[in-house]
Amino acid sequence: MILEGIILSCLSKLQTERSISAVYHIVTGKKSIQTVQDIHLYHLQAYFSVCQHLPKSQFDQMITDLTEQEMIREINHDEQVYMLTKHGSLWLNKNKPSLYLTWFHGLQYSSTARLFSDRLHLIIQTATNAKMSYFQFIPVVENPQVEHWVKKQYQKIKPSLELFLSNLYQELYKLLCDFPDKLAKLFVERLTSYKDYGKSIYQLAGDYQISAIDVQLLLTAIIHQMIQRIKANRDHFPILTKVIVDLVTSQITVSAQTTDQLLKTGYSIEEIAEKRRLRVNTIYDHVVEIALYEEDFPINQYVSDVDYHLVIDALKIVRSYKLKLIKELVPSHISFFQIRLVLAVEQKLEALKLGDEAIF
Amino acid sequence: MQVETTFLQEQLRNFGYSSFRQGQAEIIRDILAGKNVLGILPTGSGKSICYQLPAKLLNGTTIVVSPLISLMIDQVKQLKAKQFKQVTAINSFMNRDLRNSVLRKLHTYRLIYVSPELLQQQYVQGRLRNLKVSLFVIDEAHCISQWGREFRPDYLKLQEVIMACKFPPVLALSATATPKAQEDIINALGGMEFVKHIYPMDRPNIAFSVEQVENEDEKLVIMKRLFSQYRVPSLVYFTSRQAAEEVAKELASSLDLRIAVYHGGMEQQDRITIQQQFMNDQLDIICCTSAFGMGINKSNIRLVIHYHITTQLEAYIQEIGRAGRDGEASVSLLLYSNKDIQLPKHIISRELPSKQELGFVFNKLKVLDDADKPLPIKEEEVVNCFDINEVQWRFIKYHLENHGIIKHNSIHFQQDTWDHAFKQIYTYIEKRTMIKQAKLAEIIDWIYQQDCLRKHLYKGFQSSYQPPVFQCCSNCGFSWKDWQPQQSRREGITYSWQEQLKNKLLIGGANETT
Repeated sequence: MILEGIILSCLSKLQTERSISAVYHIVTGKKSIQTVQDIHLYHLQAYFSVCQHLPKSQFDQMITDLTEQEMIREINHDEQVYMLTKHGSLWLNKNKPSLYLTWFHGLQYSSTARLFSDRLHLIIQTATNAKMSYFQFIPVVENPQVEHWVKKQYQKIKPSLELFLSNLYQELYKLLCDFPDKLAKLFVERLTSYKDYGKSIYQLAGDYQISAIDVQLLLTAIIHQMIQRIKANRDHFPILTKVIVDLVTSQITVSAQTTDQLLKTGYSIEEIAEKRRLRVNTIYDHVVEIALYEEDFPINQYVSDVDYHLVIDALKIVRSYKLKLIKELVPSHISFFQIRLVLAVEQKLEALKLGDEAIF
Repeated sequence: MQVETTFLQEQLRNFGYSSFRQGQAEIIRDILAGKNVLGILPTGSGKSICYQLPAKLLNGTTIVVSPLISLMIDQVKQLKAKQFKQVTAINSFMNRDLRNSVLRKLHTYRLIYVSPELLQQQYVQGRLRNLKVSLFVIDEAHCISQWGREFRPDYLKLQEVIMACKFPPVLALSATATPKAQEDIINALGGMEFVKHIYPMDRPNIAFSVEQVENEDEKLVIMKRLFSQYRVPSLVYFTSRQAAEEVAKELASSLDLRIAVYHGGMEQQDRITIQQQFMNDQLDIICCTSAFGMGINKSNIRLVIHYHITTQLEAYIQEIGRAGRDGEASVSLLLYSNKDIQLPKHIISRELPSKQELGFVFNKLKVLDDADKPLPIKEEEVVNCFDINEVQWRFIKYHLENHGIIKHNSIHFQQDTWDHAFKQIYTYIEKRTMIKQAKLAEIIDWIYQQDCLRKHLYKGFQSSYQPPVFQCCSNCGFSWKDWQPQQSRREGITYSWQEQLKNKLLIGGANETT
């Protein structure tokens, strides 16, 4: 139900301007500039990378099912474009509140959330086993980075395990009280402790009579919401704050960061491409990504004032983010790259106007 | 090295055991004295201690050849949990970077698990040559005779690897090996001298029951009836993953028991979860395929049911052997309907290529050769190109190499050799299939046996067996009424999340350490 809800939401915002695979790339968090730009253009930041490991076949099956249920309809077979039907739109509006869609903050938290969850699970398993002086447990989390973090923390809490566990209990209790009982239970049952192994996703799916993917999405939604609350009330959650404090990562990809630094040292796009042995188009992607995130992006270095306004005028006429349509309306010397830059900057300004909600 | 029993006992404590079980100390002493050892120890008798303990004591590296990646990974995890950290498993699932980094620091490990296929890689052998290997272990050594001939031909090439390691002492371990298979193992390793430690595999505390049924529904009815009477740690074995899942669902819908599925198609992490929950008595029944069990060390499994028959008695003996390791009265139940023979028959017929498939491969090879094209390198491409599965391809490739038709991945065409090779390979396939059908016939015979099941189950493996401690078998008058195992604790009331969180974080009086 939740994944269906997310797909319908995405389709309703994409307004038939993108193919169905754009939705797949968004929910699985594809790190291409096209996807990153899409989520900003269409305000779909919330769903970015919320089900990273969704197999394409499962997604395709869901699209077939939704089509059969007449929630969506294919309107362009060659380009794989789907639109929301009236029925689908009614269903979405009716069910939205019970799908917790507003809890997702994918772009902002998806990578943080995975590490937060892994760290929390492993530190609970470690601390409870250590408290019972049992050191032969098999870790639930397989991630050397997380193991390293937990080892470091464990050294600090070792002398006062009792106190640590009771404080952590207080914090989790406080945090979970704000959630519906059913979801709090789902979260707790997944935790592994001394001689008490947490339930697997499939077991939870059976117990709660929902699909495995929905269990994963619910847990993700809960964790995004938790992070949101921890960040807003750091004083109330000192331990949990520690778990996430170093996880605030830059939104910009590492590769784009490198390009950004080279640009600032005065290299041209072509020089950077040569120096880094990348295609010029890749560097263009980086620049668009930088334009999306950097507050004082020097757009005038790439697009003249006149051209900028020509693109804006075209945008107003086509009322669409389809690059091809815009390109047809502007003089031919204005490139796709320049159009994308203008859209990125415009997008950012609009987000500022909307206030906190959409800024990442 | 001469060692005192008390010293070995002390070492054993590091692995979380207080005393040796039958055979362990004897085998370990011979290994430490530098002898080659063939050890046949029944399932669940702690075979792995026989090399894990020496690995810790010996100066140098212990190599363990193991057939299953999941088994290797489990073992490494369990050893690390026991604070034995210098262990690793090299396998084909590792990404290149990780594998290279492990290979670079190979000398820092005391115990290395590796698959026979990887041992054939030139760079792995090169690394081994520079290593001081002090013990070479072949775990599940029956694979040499069972699998080596077909889809794991690299099992037959271990002799060369032992040579590359400069002939360290060899330990071949298995839970089931007929006298014939024991001979096979020793021959395949080049006929070195072996000290044999062979222990009987019969289990006097397990009763055998075979029930003939009409159909699948009846199997379900019987299981539901049994499981509503007995709340004990139980395994139900299936041949197909799908059947395991479906039956688990069906059982869960009508029984108030905690049931889970386990098979090789599941994610590693989910498999560990199910294993651990079962170990902690958080689950009552596991519906599984043969993937479950190897390396599982749970002593109080009371009931093992076979929903499907295995293709041979060896596998059956291993699977029922997981019951009652603590010596308490346990039961193995086999449910059989006439139609059940089709499934193992089908499996056997698919294991090796058919005549048509073999012919197709030969034709395709000729087409490639005529066009001067090389053999596809990746296994998946080969599988697509020849339209057979990987296991079948490995079998064919091994034989084509033996016949000189494939050399270093290029094709060598000569009409005469080809016709000859085709005939030979096909004759071989027929022979192997017949042997397997005979193995299957053995288990069917056993099912229809009117005489004592215990006597006939073990007769091919050993000359005698111990008298049963509890009940014997359904032919000697088995009765469920007389089996009254201790029931598992019922799961109490369902706790609220608040209580569960408290329990998980060990808050409150009941969880205090003293």
